[in-house]
Amino acid sequence: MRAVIIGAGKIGYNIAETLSNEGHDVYVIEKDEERKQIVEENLDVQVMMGNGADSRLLESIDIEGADLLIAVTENDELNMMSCMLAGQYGVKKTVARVRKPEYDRNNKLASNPALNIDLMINPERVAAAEIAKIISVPEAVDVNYYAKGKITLLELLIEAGNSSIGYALKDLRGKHQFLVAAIYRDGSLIIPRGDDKIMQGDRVFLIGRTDQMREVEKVLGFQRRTIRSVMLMGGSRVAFYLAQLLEKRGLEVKIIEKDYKHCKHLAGQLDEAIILNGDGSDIDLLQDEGVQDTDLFVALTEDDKLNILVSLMAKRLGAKKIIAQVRRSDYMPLIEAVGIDIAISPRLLTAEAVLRFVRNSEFLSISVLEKGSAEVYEIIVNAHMKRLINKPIKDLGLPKGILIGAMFRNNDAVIPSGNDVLMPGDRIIIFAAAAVVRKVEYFLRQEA
Amino acid sequence: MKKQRKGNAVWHNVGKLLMIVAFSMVFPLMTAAFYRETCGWVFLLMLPVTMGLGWFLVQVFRPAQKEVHLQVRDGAAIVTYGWILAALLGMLPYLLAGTFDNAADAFFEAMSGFATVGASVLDDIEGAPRAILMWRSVTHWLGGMGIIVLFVALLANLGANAMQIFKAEAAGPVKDKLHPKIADSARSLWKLYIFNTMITFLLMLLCGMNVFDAVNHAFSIVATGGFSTRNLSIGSYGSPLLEWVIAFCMYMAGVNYTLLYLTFRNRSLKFFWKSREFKVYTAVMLLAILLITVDILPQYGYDVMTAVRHSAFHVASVLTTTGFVCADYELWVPAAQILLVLLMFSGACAGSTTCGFKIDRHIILVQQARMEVQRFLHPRLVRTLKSSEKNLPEQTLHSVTTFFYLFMVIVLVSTLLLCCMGLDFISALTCALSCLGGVGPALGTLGPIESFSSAPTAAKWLCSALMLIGRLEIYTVLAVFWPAKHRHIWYKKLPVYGDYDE
Repeated sequence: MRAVIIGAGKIGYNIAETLSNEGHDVYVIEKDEERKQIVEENLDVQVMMGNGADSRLLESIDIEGADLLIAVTENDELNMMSCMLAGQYGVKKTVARVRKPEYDRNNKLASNPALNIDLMINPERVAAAEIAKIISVPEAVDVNYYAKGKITLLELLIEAGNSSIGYALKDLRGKHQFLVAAIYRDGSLIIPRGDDKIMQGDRVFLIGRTDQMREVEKVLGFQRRTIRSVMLMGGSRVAFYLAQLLEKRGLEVKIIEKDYKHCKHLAGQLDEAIILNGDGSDIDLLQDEGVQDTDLFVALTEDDKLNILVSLMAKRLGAKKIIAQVRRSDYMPLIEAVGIDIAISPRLLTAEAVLRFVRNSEFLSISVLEKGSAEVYEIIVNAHMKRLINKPIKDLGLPKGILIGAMFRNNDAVIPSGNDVLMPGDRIIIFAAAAVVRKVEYFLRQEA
Repeated sequence: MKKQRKGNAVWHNVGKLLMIVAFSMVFPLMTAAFYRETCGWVFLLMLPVTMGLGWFLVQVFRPAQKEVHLQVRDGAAIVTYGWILAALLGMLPYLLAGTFDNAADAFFEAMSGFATVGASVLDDIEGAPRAILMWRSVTHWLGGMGIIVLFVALLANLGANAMQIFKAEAAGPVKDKLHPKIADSARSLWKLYIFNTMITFLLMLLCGMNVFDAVNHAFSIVATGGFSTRNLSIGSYGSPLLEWVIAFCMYMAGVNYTLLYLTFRNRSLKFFWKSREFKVYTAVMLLAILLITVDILPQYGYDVMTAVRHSAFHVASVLTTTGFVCADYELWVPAAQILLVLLMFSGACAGSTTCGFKIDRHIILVQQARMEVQRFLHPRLVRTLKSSEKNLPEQTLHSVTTFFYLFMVIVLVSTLLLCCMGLDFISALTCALSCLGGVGPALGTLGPIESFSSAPTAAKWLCSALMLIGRLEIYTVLAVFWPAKHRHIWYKKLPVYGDYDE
C-alpha cells in the first residue's frame, strides 16, 4: 500500500511509524525543516518539504494511484483541501483531521462529496469520548464496547486487598456468563487456563454482556461505582466536548479555567456545567470547590507537567479517581507508575483511530489493548468462512491466544462455550494476543 | 440649527403615520355605509381631517436634506408622539358620534384600543352604532402588530434609521430581524398578521358568529386586544365550542411572530419545539389551567368540562393580555383570582402582539436568580444567559432587571395614586397591573363584567398613560420624557462609583 501523510506532528509521526513498520510505502509531507529531519532520521519513509495542498508536490511523489492520504496538519482548512486534491488524483481513501467544532459538526460540509473525506477525525472529540467511556465504568482501566454496545470488554486492575486474589479462574463463579480473555502480568500477556490464579497487580481482560457487567464484575471483587461529580481543570476543547457529553448524562460538571474570556465562551456553549474562573493549581480553590468529594478529577490543560502535578494533588486531597491529559508520549509509562489512574493522549488516540480505519475494512471494529499486547476484532461471519462455521468452537483448532469472546445472534449477545456452533450472520468478537494476531486472518479466509 | 432639522424629521414621520390612521377609518366608514348608520358622517369628516393633518405635518416639516440620521431618541420620539396623536385623533369619532360626552372617556377608549388593552368605559356596547364598534376593533388591529411596523413596512423611507423606530415599538427583550432589510421584515410581519386575522375570522364564522361579529373579534383576538361587540364579551354567545376555539386562537396569538415566520418559511413545526420560550409559555399556560381548574371545581359542582373550559379560556385570555371574559371570575375562590393576577404579571412570548412583562424576560430573570444563588456557593462562577440557544450580552440582563424594577415601581406608584383617587386597594392594584400589562379587565370594582366607566376621571387619564407606557414597553416613553436638560443635576447628586474626574 502507498500512503501519503501530510503533517508530521505527533499524530502523523505515529501513523507513519506504524504503517512503515507494517511494510507499507509511506510518503510524509512536512513544511517544517526541523520536523522533517526528525522523521527522516527515525523512520524508514520518504519525507518531502512543502505544502500538502500543492499539486506539483503531490505529483512529484506520484500521488496518482496512491491508496491512502492522511492529512493531519494543525490547519483544518489545509487538511480538507488536501483531501479534495487527493480526490482529483483518485486516491482511494482519505482521512482529515478537523478540529474546529464548526466544521466537524456541520454534516453538510463533512458529507460533501467534493471534499472527498472518508474519515473526519477530531482528536479532542476522540479524547473526550474516551474519557466519557471510562467514566461509565470508573473501576476499569479501559472499556471497549462491541456489537452495538451489547458486549463489554473491561480491563480491570487487581489492586492489593482485592477479594479475588489467590483464586483460580475456574473457582470464580457468578450468576452470569463471562470470559476472562487474558491477563496482563509483569509486562506480558497470559492466556489463562482454569487453574491460573489471580494475582495482585494483574490486569484482567473481562468480556461479558453489557447489561450483566455490573454483576459480573463482582466475581473479581469489583463493585460498580457511579460517578456523579466530575471536576475538570483547564477549559480546553477536550474539556468542552467532555462536559457536553457528561451534561447529557446528567452528571455534575465543574470546569476550572484560568482565562476569563475563555470561561465566558465555555459558559455560552454549555448549559449546566459550573464554570469557574480561577487557577486550577490553587489548592484553596480546589478545596473550596470540593475536590475532596469529587468522584473524578480530570486535568486537561495544555501543560503536561501541570496536569500530572495537580491531578496527583487532587488525589491526595481526596478525589476518588484521576485522569490526566499527557501529550508527550514518553511520559506515558511513568504516569501510571506515579499513581495517576489513567493518562489520556489525544494524539495517540487519534493515531489509533486512524489506523483502525485504515486497516482492513472487513472488520466492523478493531481495538488495541494495553499498548498493543492484544487486539480485538469484531466481524460478521459469512457462509464462505468455512474454517469458522458448522463446527463446535472447541473443534475449530483455534491456537492458544485466539478466543471467540462473544457472539451476537438474533439481537442477543451470548458468551459462547466450546460447544456453541457459529453460523453465517453471527456477529462475533475475536480476541487475539499480539503473538498470534497474524493467524486470525487464516481463520477468516473465505473459501468458495 | 442641527436640532431643528431633527425635530423636522420627527414630525415629518409622525405626519406619515397619521395618514395610516386616516386610511384605517375606511373600515368604520364602510360599516356605516353598509348598515346605513347616520353616524357615518363622523368618519366621513374625520378621514379627510386626519389625512389633512398628516399631510400638513409631512409638508411643513419636510427635512432639509434627504438623508437624516435619526438617533435612538428621535425614534422614540416619533413612536411616542405618533401614538399619542393617533389616540387623540382616534378619540374624536367617539366624541362626535356622541358615544362619550367627555374627553377622558373617549381618550381612554381610544388608547385602550390602540394599546390593545381592551379595558372599556363603554357601558352599553350593544347600544352603540356598529361603525363605532368597528372603529374600536380597528384601533386594536392597528395597535396589535404596531402602527410603526405598518409604517415601516409601507411608508418609511428611512433606510438604516428604520431600525431605531422599529425597536422603539417592538416588544420583548431581544429584537429579531426576519430579513436583512427592516422594511421587508415589517412587511413579512404584517403579511403573517393579516393571514392570522383571516384564519381567525374564518374560524369565528365556522363557530356560528355573524360576519360583523366575526370581523370584530378576529381583529380583537389577533391583536390580543379584548374589545368585544357584546356587553358580556364572549360569555354572551353561550357556546362552549366558540370558547374553546377563541381560547386556542388567543394562545396562538401569544406566540412569537418570528417563530411563526420560520415555521411558515420552512414548512416545519420543529421551531416550536426548539424554542424555549414557547415551551415555557405552553407549560405556564397548562399549569395555570390545571391549578385554576382544581381551585374552582367545587364551585362548578364538579362539572369538569365547564370548569376546564372556563379556566382555559381565562388563563389564555389573561396570559396573552387579551382580556376576553366568558364568566365572572370574580365569583371564583380567591386562590384562582390571585392566580389570574399573577398571570397578568407574566405576559406571553416576546415578539408577539401581546403586552405585558413577557415570558422571555421571566426566563432571563430566573436564569439570573439561579446564577446568583450558584455564585453564592461558587464565588468564581462564570455563566452567560441564554435565550433559546443564543447567548445574550450582559446588556440585555441589565435592561431586563431595570425593566422589572420600572415595571414594579410604576405599578406600585400607580396603585398609590389610584387609591388616592378613591379606588379600593384590590381594584387599584389590579387596575394598574392590568393597564400597564395590557390585559383589560381587573378585579374589584373594575371586574370582568363591569366597565371602567365608574372610575374617577383622573384615574382614566392615569390608566391611559399606563396603557401607552406598557404598550411601548416603558423605555420608549421614558426616553422621550426624560429631562435631558437637567440630566447633569441627577448625575451630580448621585456620583457614579469610580467617577473621580468630575
